[in-house]
Amino acid sequence: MTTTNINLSDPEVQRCPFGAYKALRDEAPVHRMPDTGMYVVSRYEDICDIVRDPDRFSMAVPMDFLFKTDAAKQYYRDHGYPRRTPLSSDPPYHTEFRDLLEPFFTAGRIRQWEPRLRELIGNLASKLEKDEPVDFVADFCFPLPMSVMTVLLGLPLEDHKILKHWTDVWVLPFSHGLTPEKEMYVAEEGIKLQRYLLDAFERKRREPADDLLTVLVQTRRADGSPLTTQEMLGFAEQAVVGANETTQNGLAMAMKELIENPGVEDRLHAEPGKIRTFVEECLRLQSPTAGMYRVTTQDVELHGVTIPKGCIVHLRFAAGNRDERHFPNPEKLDLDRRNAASHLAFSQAIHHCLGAPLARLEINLAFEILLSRRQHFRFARDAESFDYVPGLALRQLKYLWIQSDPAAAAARATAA
Amino acid sequence: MKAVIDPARCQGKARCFNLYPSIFGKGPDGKGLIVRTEDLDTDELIVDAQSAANACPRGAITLVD
Repeated sequence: MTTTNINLSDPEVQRCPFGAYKALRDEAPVHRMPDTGMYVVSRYEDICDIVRDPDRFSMAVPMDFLFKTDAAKQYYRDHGYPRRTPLSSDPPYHTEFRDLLEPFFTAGRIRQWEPRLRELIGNLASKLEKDEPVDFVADFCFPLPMSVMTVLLGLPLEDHKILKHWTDVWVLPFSHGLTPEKEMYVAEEGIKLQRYLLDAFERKRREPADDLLTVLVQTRRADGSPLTTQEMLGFAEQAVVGANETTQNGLAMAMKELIENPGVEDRLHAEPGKIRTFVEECLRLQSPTAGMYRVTTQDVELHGVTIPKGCIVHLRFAAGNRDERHFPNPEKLDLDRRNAASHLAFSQAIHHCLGAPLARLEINLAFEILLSRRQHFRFARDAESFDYVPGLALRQLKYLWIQSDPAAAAARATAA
Repeated sequence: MKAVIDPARCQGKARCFNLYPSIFGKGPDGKGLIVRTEDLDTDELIVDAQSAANACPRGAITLVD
């Protein structure tokens, strides 16, 4: 493979991108994508430096770059609000906005949510206890994070399915290469989500409750002014989207790693404290958010390549997470790796994922509960048949069929 | 392994002690300080300290062996 030909949009590369990542890190640490013109940065240290350099690498990437047709952009302008999330901003604006919301993601707050999380996870885990194959993605990974976020926002739990649909559509433009018709569909569904959220804000103003949407409508800036509608929408859209695909895939990929790595499950049964490192290793190896974007505010030279001002830079977290310059023996799932959690799966520094503590708690509790109830997880079908949703920024398993160990199933039958 | 805060970099943004109070605390000057001064000897403590280092907006936290 020559590095000039590497195309991360290629479905074949997306199925198993790790060889391409190594070639990029070693031979083209700043690589201009042939199809999108974006500059891919793949080494761990470089990504760490760039996320700490917002003056030259701005987060204010015009979200419009995701849409190619004017019709889709115009539809947003005519019928709702432009797609703009607080994530896509720089200091000092970003700092102010984030400081307002951070108190709602402290250790104390998150601990309050734990009993509800345990209940939701326990209910879903019970549904997996069948003797026939189950799709871990559809029956567990999909409903868990979406149910959690629906409850935390203060929306009716039964709405988690429609929210899931809207957020699945919302992320489609990150795949690039959408047809004009598909872009229009994304815009129409996006406006439906905005209208749903606007109604929810109205409800929370009338009937405040102990939930995140109430926080959004009640939050005041230092000067006493409320958040704008655009800001509230941006945050709420970000919350549902952020909770959905990423945690779903963190869960699915962790199960895949658990099954593919012999000995890991036995060790986790013997030493449950190792679940913490197991989860970090899975996040490192599979990085559900494979990459994020920045835009250069000036010409920047890196590794002999000049990135012109105004270019989109794609920080490939998934490649940095397997950089042997930072993680020795990077392809191995190592339960004793001391720096496992220094990965880039949640990015770092000012834009470090606000929901990371919640995602970590969900995935850790999920495996604690699943491992306490079952043993010997295995694939139910041909392990070669993994299939991923096409996409550049997100890595997403379509399904993951797993099965109970026959001996365990027999023991259950005897006990019953 | 131990966590160390560089007081010159820390600006008291509070992420470390808001998220991981078993390791970090708030000093009288509003900046972060280490409350867990003993060795970080469990996976839980190591992962939490590392997570705090990732999250710190100022890059003020490092882990040393």
